[in-house]
Amino acid sequence: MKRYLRISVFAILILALVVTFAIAGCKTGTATAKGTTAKTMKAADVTIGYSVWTMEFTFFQNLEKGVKDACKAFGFKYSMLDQKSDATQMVQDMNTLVNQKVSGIVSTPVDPGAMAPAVQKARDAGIPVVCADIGKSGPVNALIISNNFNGGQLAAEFLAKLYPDKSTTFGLGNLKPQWTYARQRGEGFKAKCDELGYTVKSEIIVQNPSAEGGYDTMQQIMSAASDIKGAFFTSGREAVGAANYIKSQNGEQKVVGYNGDPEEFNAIKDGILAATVLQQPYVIGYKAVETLKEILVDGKSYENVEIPAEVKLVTPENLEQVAKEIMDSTGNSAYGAPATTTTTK
Amino acid sequence: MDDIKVGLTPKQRAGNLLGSFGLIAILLIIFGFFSLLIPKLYFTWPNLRDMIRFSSYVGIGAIGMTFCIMTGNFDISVGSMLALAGVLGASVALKAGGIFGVIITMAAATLLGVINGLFVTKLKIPAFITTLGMYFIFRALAYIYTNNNPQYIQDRFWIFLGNGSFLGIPLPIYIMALCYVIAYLMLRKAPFGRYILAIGTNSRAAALSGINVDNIKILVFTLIGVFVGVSAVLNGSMLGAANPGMMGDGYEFQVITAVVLGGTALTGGSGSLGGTLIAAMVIVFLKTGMSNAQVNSYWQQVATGLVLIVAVSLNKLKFWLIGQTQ
Amino acid sequence: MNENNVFIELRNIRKIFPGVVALEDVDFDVRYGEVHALVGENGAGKSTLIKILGGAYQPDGGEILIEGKPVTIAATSMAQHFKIAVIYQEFNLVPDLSVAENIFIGREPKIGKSFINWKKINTDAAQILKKLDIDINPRKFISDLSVAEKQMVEIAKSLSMDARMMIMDEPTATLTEKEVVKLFAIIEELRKKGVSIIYISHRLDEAFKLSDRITVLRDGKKIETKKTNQTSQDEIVSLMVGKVVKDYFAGKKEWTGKEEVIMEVKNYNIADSIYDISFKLHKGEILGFAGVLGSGIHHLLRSLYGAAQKTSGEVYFEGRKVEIRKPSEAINMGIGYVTEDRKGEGLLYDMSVLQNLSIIIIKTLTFFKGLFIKQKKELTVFNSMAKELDIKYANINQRIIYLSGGNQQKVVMGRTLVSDCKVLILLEPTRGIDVGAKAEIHKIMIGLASKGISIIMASSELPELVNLTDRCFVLYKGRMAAEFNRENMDEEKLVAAEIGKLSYLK
Repeated sequence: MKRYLRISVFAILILALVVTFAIAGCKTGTATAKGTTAKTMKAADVTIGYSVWTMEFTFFQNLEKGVKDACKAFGFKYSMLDQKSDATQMVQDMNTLVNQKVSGIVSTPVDPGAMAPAVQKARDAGIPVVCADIGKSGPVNALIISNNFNGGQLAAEFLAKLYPDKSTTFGLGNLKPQWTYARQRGEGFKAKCDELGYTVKSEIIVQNPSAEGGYDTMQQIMSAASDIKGAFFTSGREAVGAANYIKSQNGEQKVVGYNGDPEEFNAIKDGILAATVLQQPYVIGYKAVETLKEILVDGKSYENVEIPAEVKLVTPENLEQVAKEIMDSTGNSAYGAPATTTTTK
Repeated sequence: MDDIKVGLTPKQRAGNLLGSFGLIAILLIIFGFFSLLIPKLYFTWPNLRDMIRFSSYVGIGAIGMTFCIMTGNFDISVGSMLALAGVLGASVALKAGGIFGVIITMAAATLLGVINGLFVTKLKIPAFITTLGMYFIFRALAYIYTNNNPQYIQDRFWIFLGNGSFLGIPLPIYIMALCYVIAYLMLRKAPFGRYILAIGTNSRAAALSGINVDNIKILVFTLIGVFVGVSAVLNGSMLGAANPGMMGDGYEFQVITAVVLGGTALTGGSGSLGGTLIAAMVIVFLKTGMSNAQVNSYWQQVATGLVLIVAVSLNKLKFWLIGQTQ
Repeated sequence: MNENNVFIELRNIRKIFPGVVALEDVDFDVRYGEVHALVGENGAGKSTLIKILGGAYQPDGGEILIEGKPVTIAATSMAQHFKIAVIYQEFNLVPDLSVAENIFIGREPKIGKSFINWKKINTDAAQILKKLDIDINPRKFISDLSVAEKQMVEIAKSLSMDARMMIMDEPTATLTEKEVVKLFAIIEELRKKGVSIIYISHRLDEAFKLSDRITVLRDGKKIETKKTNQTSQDEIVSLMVGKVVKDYFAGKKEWTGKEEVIMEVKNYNIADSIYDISFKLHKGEILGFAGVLGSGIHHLLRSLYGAAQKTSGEVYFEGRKVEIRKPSEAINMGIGYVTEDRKGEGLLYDMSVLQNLSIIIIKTLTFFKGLFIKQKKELTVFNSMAKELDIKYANINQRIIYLSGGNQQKVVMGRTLVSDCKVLILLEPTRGIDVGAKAEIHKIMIGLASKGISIIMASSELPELVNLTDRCFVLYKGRMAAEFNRENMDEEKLVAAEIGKLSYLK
């Protein structure tokens, strides 16, 4: 008896809501259609929705800062959702932003493969989608991503400058091949070495993505090619692990990393790591909004374009200056230590 | 001679009322609060529609878990089960088409549920330990099978299941409603439901009543598989991919939270499917509201935790009012 | 009686449970260094009395004096304070700790404030064990000990707390004869140290061997305290049984058993509990089983229902040889079972009265091949059974725990009866229910038997057996000790046979 009462009360409530919205729905439906037909918008009418992988890591905090600062610079309204590293939440957030009728969406997807239907929905609603870093799937307008190939080239140039003798050989610690974008770093490195006439004598994949994994991989590279003079690792913590192996062997080899993690900054400061290629999440985030501005306000057309964001070589010489720049733009220390861990709201 | 309690005291009536409407009240308060706070973002049909649509992810998976917890058991392998079934189905869909993909996803999840049930009953390994083991094994098998490559789902039929609508209402809502109707009939109108309650409340008495406790337990774990299978189909459809690492990550935790929030006792013996359904909605309604209101994600977790505690306290209050002594 | 000699004295102790007076104005005292045996049938009030002494129950009336001063033993910890130790049958030992740790649990000798002094704990424990002449390594884990050894540790533990009085509840029930000898030696040792002992046992010869005085309880009243050397076992047995209020039953029932045999058990054995039992059950007969703890009746009857496994033996049901491996097979055959442990394995507390009654037959009350319950049919079945058994309830959705004990028992019996059983196994059918409800249950049983249902009934209430059963078997330590029929059955004989002393009644 009581059970039926409960069920019926709930059913009536749901029904009432559905009916209310069904009636109201006609109006909202037409409103959406009108909104999408407009070719360009005024900056003051633009709202950018940003869906971030997680706000737990400095990298994404800096990215978000870039998105937010760009919105402020262009006079856009801004709204941010946190996927909390959950692919389902990512899709849900994309839907929420569509329902909020934002003008454009920036996404840093936790699972770039799993966003196609959600992106399709946004595009169907007339909302352009730009991915900031990581990757993309579905009909996104653009992907802003670090110039990985160029980053590899920078690393090769750095090592070449240290060892002018062309007979010098180098090692390469790659990430697993399914990380498409990380693979491009290694390819850039190899291409530049080739171009400059150097040889990459040993190339090994880091099986266990961690500092320990980097340590082990460096050991394997050294046992395969003990006469190398330097090595490039396509990620941060792994490069630090590799450099620590060299240190433990009192070796002369120079290790170059990729990312610009706090561990790397500290390792360069301590003279363990020779250099790193810095990704600039702030720049990526800023560029993503810039791209949306071009689409929404300037009426430019982008479909499935990849826009590289510049990377920067960090060496002991420019270390302090780069760290200061990062602090100025994001408020986060490049060394990690007293960094603000909460969101930059 | 025999003193029997006739009728209910006002206090007991209040308790029953609280049990029946407490969670619904929480849901309405949350919906009302955010509707007033951010009406343009929250109090819209598309938002309500999508909130209910996304409730299906946890809501459907939590049906089997409700049965399981009512018998006094646990299954913490559901997230990994979702991923393994999802990648198997998605890979089949690429070669043989979406319908086969969906069938394989369902069949795989069901089979994994059967395996859990057999381990728990025939090998007498406690459910917690069995499913903890399977939590790792299923996930690892998903990695191994796919070589850690996401399986993309592009089949139009499959994508339609999670994203399409009929009469303006998304298909997942119909599917969730159907699942709950079937589950409700099983629990309240079929002998199976009585057996689940009996095992949960006193499994020795159940065994002496001629109930084959092992078979019912196997059936319960199988049903978890069935409903996780449905959830995997819809989740794969909404995501457009089955990623062995990402799919169903943390799912077990969300599902158990919904069941507990819904008022099912962790000790077994009593519980409510309606409670589970509303709880799944409470979680999504709250999360969406807070996200839309730009609440920092750490505070969101604090709020979710508080709602869980409040709901469970209401349950305690209910029992106190009814005067449950045992 | 010399007042100075008395360690503890109870005056006019009353304890009332809902519907039952468990103890009524009981006077009782124990002297220093005395072994005082406490005897009585099951339900006489022995365990209530020791629970009061142990602080587990509070008396509803009367007073307790220790060394002449009135005290309140409000909790088990207070019993410890008064140096009273109760050694229950289920021991209070932690299986995963060592003997020494268990002896000193909560009072471990320490180094500083936080570290256990392992050397001291082990030597101290060894000393205590040696004092009692117990040969157990204090470093051994409790889980590796035999039952007897656990009991010794329990005694050593009590002694290490300087217990002035120890209460031993059926200490020999699970011991071998050699172990019993050892235990007696220890009791002798304790007595010499001036420790008072209350000794509870069904085995009268033990009580006579050990005790200085014997107190007999019956139906919650103290019948008499006798000096052991001034009484005989015969006298104690007759005091225990007393004058039975025969008219408490509505007259001796008619012989209902027919010649037709419905069930036959041949050479039945269960590991460590039942040895070579054979019997026949006739149609419409009420067959009783009597025996004290350790008689094995429980195992036998559970096994006949398929809830426990036999090691060998044959069962014939309606002339056919059958194997009953699980309860569902017994139910399908037409055998019903009502447990003595209503709370532990009878009631489905969280479920309603209706659901409790229909749980066994619910799968037959369905349509669409067992898919959906015919709820109207279920209600009809419930109503007719509720009427037949006169079950009192507020509404069908009332949870079963809100019913009185007697009504709970009726529901649990009704659960079996609705399945149309031909043989009904009842264990302690009137345990924990009040007198009025008892009579009702008895009436129901007689009614069932006259309808041709055969009943196997195990009970520790002898009047019940004497007045209800057509025949009664007494089991002693898993073997058939005696068989009575209505002509030669009386309570004295049953008691004597139960405690293995039939020879006293020649």
